[in-house]
Amino acid sequence: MRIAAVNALDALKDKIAPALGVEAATLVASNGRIHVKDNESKGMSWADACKHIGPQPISVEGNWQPGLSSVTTSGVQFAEVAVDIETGIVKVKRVLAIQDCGLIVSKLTAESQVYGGVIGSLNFAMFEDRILDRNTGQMVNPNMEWYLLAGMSDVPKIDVRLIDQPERGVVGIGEPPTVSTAAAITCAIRNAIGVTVRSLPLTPAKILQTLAQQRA
Amino acid sequence: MKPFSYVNPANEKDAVRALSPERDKVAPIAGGQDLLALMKDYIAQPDRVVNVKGALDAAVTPMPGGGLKIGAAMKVADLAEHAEVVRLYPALAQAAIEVGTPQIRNQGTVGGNLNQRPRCWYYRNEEFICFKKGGNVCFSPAGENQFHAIFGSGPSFIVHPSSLAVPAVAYGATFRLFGPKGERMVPAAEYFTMPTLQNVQSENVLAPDELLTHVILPAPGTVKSGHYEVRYKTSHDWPIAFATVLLGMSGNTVRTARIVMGAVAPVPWRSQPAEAALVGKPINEETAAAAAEAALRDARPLSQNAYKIQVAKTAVKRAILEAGGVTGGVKTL
Repeated sequence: MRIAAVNALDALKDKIAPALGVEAATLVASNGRIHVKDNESKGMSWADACKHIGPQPISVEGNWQPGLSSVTTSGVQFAEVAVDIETGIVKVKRVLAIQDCGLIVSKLTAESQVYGGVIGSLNFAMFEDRILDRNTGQMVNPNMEWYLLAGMSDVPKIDVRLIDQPERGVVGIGEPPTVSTAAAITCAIRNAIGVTVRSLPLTPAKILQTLAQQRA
Repeated sequence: MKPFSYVNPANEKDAVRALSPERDKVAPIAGGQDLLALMKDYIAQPDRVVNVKGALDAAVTPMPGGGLKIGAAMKVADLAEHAEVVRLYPALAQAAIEVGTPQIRNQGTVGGNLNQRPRCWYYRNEEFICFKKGGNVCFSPAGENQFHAIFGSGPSFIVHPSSLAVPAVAYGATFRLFGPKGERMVPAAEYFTMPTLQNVQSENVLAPDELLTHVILPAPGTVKSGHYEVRYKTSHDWPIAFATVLLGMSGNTVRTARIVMGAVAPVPWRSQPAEAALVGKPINEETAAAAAEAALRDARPLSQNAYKIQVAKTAVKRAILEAGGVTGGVKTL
């Protein structure tokens, strides 16, 4: 995105350089103006510069370059659950997500991403299941009734802590928060009942079956 | 949905006149919480829809002798909050408040809830022509049956979807039906039908040209009640199993018991073995667990719903403990 923004500014500089009688490469943007570097008076305001755009808007692309993609992003999540051992129902009480962010561009957006990722992973762990009829292959739950997704009362308290490391530049935050939650929940269930349930979603049937096998 | 004509009768006589004795031709609509979905999925394709919201009673009327008469057009939300229902039939109010979501409770009616069609995902799928749609097979025993019945032996293995039906049976309610030949009174326990090859296309004795107009509850007497539902999601999910328990006590001992389970059979499932196990006993963890065992002793699970037995046992046990005022019934590690 940053590359695209730089490309757009360069295109704008190209448009106004002839009007100022200078080379585009000498121009910089600062304090709401585009002007020759170290000579703020030789230039024009941003608004005036944009009047030079003409009927064709400036439309540019920023292309991926090596080093831009998130690698080595990391995060840690903790989950607190309550397991009703007489019904197999698991209630996730709390999730704490600590997420490495590199350079945080917008704290609110980054936090929202982590909330969303945790909720998505909670659904993956607890509810979502594409159930196919074993005889015809048809999906028997192609609807909101039986393709379960967490409702308001199913979402636990989620605490998010972002680690801001501007020196690393921008890294990814869309997918990484979804990675840990399901595992954290499964580990919490193991901590609660002493066995690991190795199949998602963590339905009451699976919890009860695992408990029965443990007793046997 | 298929185009249909729509009529607004003023009273139950006109409403019944607009119905048809032929099954599936004409449908009554109140809150539409089930019918509209059935129509959008082409499971129900009536030629005519009869609005009964204005034609049927929506009020609660006290009966001489201490009971209550509830109009079928009463909203589920209103039933859940009605002071006399809460006071006299708390299990019914508890069932009502757990129905669906606030939106569903504020549109759906008592009559609609009792008469709703099953949630079975083969029934609700246009591609599967099962017994209930005039076919000759039930797809659940050989298919995905984790939510199907653990009591009964077919031909259909649906679980009855109504939460209100279970306390209605427990409290000994009578349903007033009105049709072209006039009114008839049917006890709730006889209204819902176990499936046979002859009756499998319906879940109850209501004829296509009849309406359920009232739920009549007898005076409850001095009973302690418990109602416990187990559902997976907290927000907007169907229960896996639930139970209503009514106890008449002699001091600390159970004199009479009514134990009815829901979401385990094609009808609200009353368990006389469980009731017999409790009579003469005090209420505690052991006696409640023993009664719950007895309630599920004759369960016959399908290939994927054996877990329902444990869940239903827990529902019965906790409903008994709630009725007996024994707290701390939930065991978590």
